[in-house]
Amino acid sequence: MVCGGLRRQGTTEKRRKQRRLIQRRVAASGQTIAGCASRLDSLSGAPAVASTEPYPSPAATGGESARAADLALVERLSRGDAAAWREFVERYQRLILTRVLVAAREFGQPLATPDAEDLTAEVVAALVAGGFAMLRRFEGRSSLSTWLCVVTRRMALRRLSVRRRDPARAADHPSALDKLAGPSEPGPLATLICGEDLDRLAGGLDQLGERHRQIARLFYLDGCTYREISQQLDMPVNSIGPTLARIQQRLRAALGEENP
Amino acid sequence: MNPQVPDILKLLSWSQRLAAGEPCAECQAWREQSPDAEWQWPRIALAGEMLEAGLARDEDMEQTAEDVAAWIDGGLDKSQAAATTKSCWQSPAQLAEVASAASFRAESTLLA
Repeated sequence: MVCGGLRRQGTTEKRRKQRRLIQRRVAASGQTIAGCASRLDSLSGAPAVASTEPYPSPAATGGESARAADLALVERLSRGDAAAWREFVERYQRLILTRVLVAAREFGQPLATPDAEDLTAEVVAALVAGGFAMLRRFEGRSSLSTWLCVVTRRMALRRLSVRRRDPARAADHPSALDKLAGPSEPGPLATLICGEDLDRLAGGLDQLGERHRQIARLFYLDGCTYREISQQLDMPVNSIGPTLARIQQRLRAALGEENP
Repeated sequence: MNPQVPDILKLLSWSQRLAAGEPCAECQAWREQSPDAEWQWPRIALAGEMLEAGLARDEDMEQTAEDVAAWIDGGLDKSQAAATTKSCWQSPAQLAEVASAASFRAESTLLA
C-alpha cells in the first residue's frame, strides 16, 4: 500500500514536471517565432491542404454535395422542422458528446460521462439558442461535422475554464440545466435538451423578451457571473438574481404547458 | 510549389503515426532533409504534447471557428488558407486546436 502510494506520488510529481516543461516550451515558442518570420512569409502562398491523408478534402471526395446537404439541414432546423432535428440528433449527438469528453481531457479535467452529458446539453442549448443563431453561422465552407468539432471544443473549453476560475460558483451551480429544470428529474427543460424536441426549447427562449433572452443566454449558456452580466448589459448587479428567478419561472411555465 | 513540402495536416498525421508507434519513413526523410523541419517539427510535437498533458486552454483565437473548420476541410481560398497556416505556426494554442480537430476527425474516419 505504502509502496503503491509512493509510486503514485512519484508518477504525479513526474507528470507535474513534464507539464511545467511543456508550459515553458509553449511560452518560449512565442519568443522564437520572431526568428521564423521570413520563413512564415515564404510559406504564405502555400495552400493549406496539399495532402489529403488521412483527412480527405470534401471537395475531392464529392464533398460539395455533402456540404449542400449540411446547409439544407441547418436551414430546415432553423425553420423548426422536427424531422430535421431528429436527423441532427441522430447524426451529431454522439460526435458532440465525444468531442466534449476529448476537450475536457485536453483541458486536464477529464469528465465522467454524466458530467460530460451535462456539458453536452449546455453546448447543444447554446447551438440552438435564439432560433438556432449559432448554428446558422455555419456557412458550408466545411462539413457540418468539422464545424461542430471545432465549435464544440471552443465552447467546452470556455465553460470548463469558467468553472475552474470560479469553483465556488460551479459547486453552487453544478449544472445550469439542473437548476433550470428544478428538483424534479428530468425537468421539462432538461428533457427537451436531452430529448428529441430541442427545437421547442428554442421556442421557449423565443417567448422571452429580448432583454430576458440576453440575460438567460449570458448566465446559462455563456457561464457569465452576475457581475459580468451586470457590466455587459449595464444593469445593477443586485437586480440580476431576481430577474433570473423570473426568467426561470417563465421558462418552466412555458415548457411545462407544452409537456403533459 | 514543391510537392514534397508537407503541410500542417500532413505533419500532424505523421506525428499521430509516430505517437501510435508506427514507423514513418516520409517523416524521417523530411526531418533529415528539410531546413524547415528544424523549426516546424518541434511545434508539431509541442501541440501534441500540450493536448496529451491536459494543457489546452480557453484562449482567444485569431482565427474564427468557421475559418479553422474550413481550413481543415480545404474550403478556404489561397490567401485565407495562408493566413490560417501562418496563425497555426505563430500560436501554439491555434496549432493545438487544429491538431485536436484533425486527430478527432482521423479517429472518427477510422471508426466510421
